[in-house]
Amino acid sequence: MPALEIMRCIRDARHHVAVAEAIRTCESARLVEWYELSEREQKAITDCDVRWLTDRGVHPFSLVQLSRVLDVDLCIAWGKDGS
Amino acid sequence: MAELVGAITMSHGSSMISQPEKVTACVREQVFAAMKQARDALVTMEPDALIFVGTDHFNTFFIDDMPKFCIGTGTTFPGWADNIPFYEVHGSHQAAEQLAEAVGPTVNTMGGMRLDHSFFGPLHYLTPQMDLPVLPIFQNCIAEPMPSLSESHDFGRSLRTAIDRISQWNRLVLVGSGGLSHWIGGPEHSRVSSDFDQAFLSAFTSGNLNDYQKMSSSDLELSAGNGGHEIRNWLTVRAAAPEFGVEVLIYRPIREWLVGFSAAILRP
Repeated sequence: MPALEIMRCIRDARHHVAVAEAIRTCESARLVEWYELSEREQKAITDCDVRWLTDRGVHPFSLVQLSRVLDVDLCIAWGKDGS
Repeated sequence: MAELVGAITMSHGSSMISQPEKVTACVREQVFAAMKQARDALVTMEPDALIFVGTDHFNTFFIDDMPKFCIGTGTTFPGWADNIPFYEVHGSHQAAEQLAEAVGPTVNTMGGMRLDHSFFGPLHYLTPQMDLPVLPIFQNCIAEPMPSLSESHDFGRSLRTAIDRISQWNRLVLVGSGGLSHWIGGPEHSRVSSDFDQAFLSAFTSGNLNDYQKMSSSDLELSAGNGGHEIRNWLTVRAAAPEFGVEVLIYRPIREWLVGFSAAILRP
């Protein structure tokens, strides 16, 4: 499953401060060290690019987890009014 | 042998705990009053322990290793503090093993099962002191392979038979957590369907859930959103207590908390 490593990274960010911090501060070097992610995949995670991630098969609940890591409102991320 | 003395079903949502201010004071008061009613009802049921059917949101179980059902057989169950406070609750290895053996091979077991807000969200209101033992049962409502709705219903019937065989406790209350409709995470994030929810609550109350037992996962998701899969936990509870009367305490579509919110009490 192509999205599995992305989802694993996001899941870990909910449980490990260092992973969450690497995502928040866009520390590509650390993410690459820990996960097999392409540059584009890392950017989609750190940008909370929900459309790109969804197109790659990332599960909606992973997007919820990512939104909590980045403190992003998913309504706004999807281009709708905030809830 | 244990007796099922009541049941409670309720929606969960971490936002209602972490961001209560997202809704109006009127909605908050209505929801929290219903939660207090549920807590008061639980006290009057005088249970020795709770059998709790909940789910998980990629905290304990990940998408590459999802059982359909899993009984927690540990003696303590820590939470994940996933957008709610950290909690821990005690269980019983002996009772869980008895339950698992009675239910049969359809369920997995896990000693070190941690519980996310699907469990601790309702417990935050029902037993805020976390002083009542809990026997947690994970039902996969998040990613395939999910049980069919018919399997969820049948699991409830097996569960009732199995509960009757538990020797460690006398009085048990069954709790089901989740639903009702909600679209979460995807393009329709924060949508709920009052029409679906009202129809489901009507069927839940009457006990005539045939239409839902026959519903496919994909049809359920179309009608109730990807979060709507959690009505499986309501189906399981109703199937375990078909002769009980149902009192729906509340229903409100609450987009701000990302849930079609309801709570109900089931009594013999």
